[in-house]
Amino acid sequence: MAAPATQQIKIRCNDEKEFTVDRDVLERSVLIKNMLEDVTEQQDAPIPLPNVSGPVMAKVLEYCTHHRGEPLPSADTEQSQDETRKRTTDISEWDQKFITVDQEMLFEIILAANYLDIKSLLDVGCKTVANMIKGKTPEEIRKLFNIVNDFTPEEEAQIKKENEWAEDR
Amino acid sequence: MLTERVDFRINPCSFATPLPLPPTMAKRKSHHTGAAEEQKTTNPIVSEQKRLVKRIKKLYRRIDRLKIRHNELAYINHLPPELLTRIFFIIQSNIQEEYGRDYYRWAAVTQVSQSWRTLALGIKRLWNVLSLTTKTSASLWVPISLERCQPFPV
Repeated sequence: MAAPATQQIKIRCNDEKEFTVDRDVLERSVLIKNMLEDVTEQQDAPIPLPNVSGPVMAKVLEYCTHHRGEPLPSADTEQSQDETRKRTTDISEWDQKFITVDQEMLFEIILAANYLDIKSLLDVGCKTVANMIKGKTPEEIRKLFNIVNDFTPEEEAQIKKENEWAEDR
Repeated sequence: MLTERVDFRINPCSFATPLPLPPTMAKRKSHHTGAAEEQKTTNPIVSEQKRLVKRIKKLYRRIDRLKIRHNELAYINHLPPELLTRIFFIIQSNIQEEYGRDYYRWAAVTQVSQSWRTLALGIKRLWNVLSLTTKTSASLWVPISLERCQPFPV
């Protein structure tokens, strides 16, 4: 017996790039899921996604397709601070490979996950950035993200004091 | 503080006005008692130096603005504050798990740039977890944390 046909949804990115995607894949995004629930009649017009470009959406859809069918995280958006603190930086092997992209794409994916409300992808992105930062010195962090030291002499003096304390072992 | 970075070397050839007379000659030319004071205020070297210091300060302010703009363009700084905050919390909790005694290593994020420092120091809940180890480095961070976490309880 043939499996029931999955509903296909069309989306349009900010660069006019369009994708036709299975509904259950798209529903990894809480934003799109809510949009689809609000629409009672089937529409042919693509869903506009003004904050996401085609290349970034392609990556997001790759993630959503891989994780389709998995239970969505709880709808509780206001996580307590304790819950936030419990986050670890463990990322699955597939997710690690998926998120191994250049910095421009990495931060675009994080922004898209935030906009589309895909919590698990947002977590992967934020954990990846946290992994890149942890254990590094401020100078190493600056170099990594192409940031220059813009502290005032007063702030430099305060930081020097903090570091003197840290070195006083 | 800014004057620490000021270079007072001046090329005498660059003066638009002639160099002053040596003090002895100047003294001979002035016969009244207030002449020395008058010469001090109109001394072209001093005036030129004042003008240059002003210009240097202006350039430093411009450099500071350019640095801030440069940092705004960094990809990581495209993230809204709430996402950077989320990343800071992950780093903090992870360092707590992995490094234990070196708990305050997470605070490196407060020493990266002005915007990161302002953000991290403004997140009171980042500071209301104390690490009470025997290490001097950690224990000296305790008063900093207590100050920065107000009004949240530890």
